[in-house]
Parts: sequence; structure tokens; C-alpha cells
Amino acid sequence: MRIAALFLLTLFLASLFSGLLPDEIPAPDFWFLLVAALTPRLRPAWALATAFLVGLFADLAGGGYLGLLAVGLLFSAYAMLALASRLHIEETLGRAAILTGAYLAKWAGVFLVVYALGLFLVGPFDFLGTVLGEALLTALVAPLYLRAADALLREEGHAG
Amino acid sequence: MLRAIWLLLTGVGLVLAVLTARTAPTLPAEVAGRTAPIFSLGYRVGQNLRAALATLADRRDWRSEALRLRREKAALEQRLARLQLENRRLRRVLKIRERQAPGVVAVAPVIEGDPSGLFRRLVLGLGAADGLAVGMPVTSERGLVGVIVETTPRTAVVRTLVDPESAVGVRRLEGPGRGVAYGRPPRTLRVRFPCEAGLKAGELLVTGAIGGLFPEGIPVGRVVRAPPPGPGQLVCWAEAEPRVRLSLLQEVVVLRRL
Repeated sequence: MRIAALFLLTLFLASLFSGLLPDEIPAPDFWFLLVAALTPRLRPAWALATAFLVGLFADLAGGGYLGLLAVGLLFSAYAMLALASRLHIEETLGRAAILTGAYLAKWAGVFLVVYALGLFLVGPFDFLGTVLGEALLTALVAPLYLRAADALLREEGHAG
Repeated sequence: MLRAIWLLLTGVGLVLAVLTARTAPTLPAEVAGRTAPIFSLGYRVGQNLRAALATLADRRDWRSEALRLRREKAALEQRLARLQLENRRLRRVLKIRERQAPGVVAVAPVIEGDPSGLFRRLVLGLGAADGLAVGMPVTSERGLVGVIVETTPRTAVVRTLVDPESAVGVRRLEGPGRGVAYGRPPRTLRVRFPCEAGLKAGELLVTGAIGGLFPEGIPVGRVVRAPPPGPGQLVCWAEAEPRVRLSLLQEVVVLRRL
């Protein structure tokens, strides 16, 4: 139930920021943050499936290529699981490193799909601004979002 | 196991991407259209927030814009006033040039009047360094002012036509007869004229001495009193009022010496 609430909150925030920010500024990736919040709390296999489904929903809702964000978020969840076994997610620095790795993995997944689709209409440097802008804004909102998600999901833990 | 799931889902994602991109490209758009209402709430809130922020920023801009425009208006008004003055001055010069053919040497500001009351002299804000020289006629739009009698590098002294030392050769604007207008402080002229010319009050006198200091035809003054001549009298004296108002002069035009 709490996960559904977090999903709705994410949906609201994603649409809010896309309406709030001008076209030239990419909105923070709240779907990535949702995956980042859910992955450590789910079983690894479920975490991958959830990330894939969240990405698929984002692809469908955004009217883009199906599988683009699905694979991207799947990669980020996988990277997060892989890094979490090596770094301490409880520590701020460890968590930041895990999130950075996961974020880079997301774009690796996205570019894999772009490559598979043969979409080379844009050069890699054209994407650089988007990637950096989105990364910056995502990093800015991440602490607040993850804290809110922690609070929300912890309550579910207590309730469960 | 985990890696297998990851690979499997990656494969599914790629196949899905390839298949839908080539065979059902409209599917995501259709779904996006149907799911749009879910997003619309947050999107509208975001847009309204953005519009509100833009309005706030605009208001700040308007205020600074208004201030800037006000400053610009004040500057333009000053400039306009300056240009109007300049325009008026140039018109006067033009009129003088038209009426009083000789070339204009300079338009000089009047910076001081003779305070003694004995003489009627003006001090100009231009001098020998600006091309002014002794003997140059000084006029204004309304008529003759006088002649330069002294110069320094930056100033010049004008002996006005009402100065007691001033004597200007004059003639009637219409009709024959020539005479001399002598200055009589504080502001009148004594005009010596041949009685047979029949000078009358109200007549305009202009410069007109042959070989005199001043160019021909510059208005000097208007006769205000012309007593009838006595029996056998050859020379008559009349009283005239100068056309130019010396106390109101701000600028004068200096003409080339004849």
C-alpha cells in the first residue's frame, strides 16, 4: 500500500517538475529515484522486475520507445544491487557512490537500447547537457525524495 | 540467478523496443494519451507555479523597466529642451542671416551687463580667441544691439546703441532721409534728422549710413516722438525707442566687420 503511495507521489512529482521547469531544463529523474528507493527493500529478483516495470510504465506514459527506460532502470537496479554488496548503503558516502553508479548504469542501459534501435540521430555530446542537467537536478532532489521515501516505507515496515 | 534475470529482462526490453519501434510505433503514443489525465494534475500545478514565478519576475522587470523608462524620459526631456533652445537659436541666426546679409561670426552669450548705469555695455561670453574683434557689429533677432569695442581672449565688450558714446547712422525704412541715432541712457535714442524729411512718430529706423560700421537695413528703433520743426530749422531731433530689449538679451549675433 505504501509502495503504491510512493508510486503516486513519484508520478505527481515527475509531472509537477516537467510542468514547472522550462523546456530547456531536463526534469529530475524521479523514476530512477523510485527504483533507488525500492531496490534495497525488495528481494533482488523482485527489485529487477519492479525496476523493469517502472521503466516500462514511464516509457508508455512518456510516449517514447518502449524499453528505453525499462532497460535503463533495470540496469540501474542491477548496478545498485551489485554495488550494495561491496559498499555500505547505510553510510552517506557509500549511498552516494551507489546512486552515482546506478545513475550511470541507467544511461548505459538507455544507450544500449538506442544502439539496438539504430537511433543515431543525435550525437553523444548532444546528450551530454541532458545527462548532466538531469543528473544535477536529480542529485539536488534525491536527499529529500529518498528521505520521504524512507519515512513512507519504514512506516509500512512497522505496520507490516 | 540474478544475472540471468537481468539478462532475460534486458533481452525482453530490447526485443520490445525493436518490435514496437518497427511494428507498432503508435502504441506508446496511444498509451501516453490514455494515461495523460493521471499526469495532468501535477503537470498543471507545475505549470501554474511556473506561471506565477514568471509573473513575479515580470513584475520585478516591469518595475525596473518603468524606472529605466522614467530616467530615459527625463533625459529625453532635457535633450528636447536643449534641442528646442538650439533650434530657436539657429532660427534666430537664420533670420538674421536672411535679413542682415553679412556673415555671422558667432552667436555669443551675454554674460554680464554694465552695472554702472552710466554706460550701457554688455559683456559677451566669447572673445578674441573665438574670432571676435573690435568693430564687429552685434545684432539680435529684433534688431541692432551695438558694436564690439573691446576684447579679451575669452570675453568681448559691446557698446550698445543706447550707450552715450554710441552714434549709429540710420535711415527711414520707407521714405528718404538719413540721420544719426545717439544713445541716451537708460533706454532711448536721440535721433538727428533733416527737418525736411518729415520724420513722424511710429516710423521704423534702420541702419543706413554710407560707409558706416553697420550693414544696411538692420532695425534700430521706432520713433516715439518727433516734434514739428521750428521756422527755418534745418536739423530736427526726435526720440526713438530701440527695437532690442537689452535687459532681456541672452544671446547676440556677432557679424563680420564691414
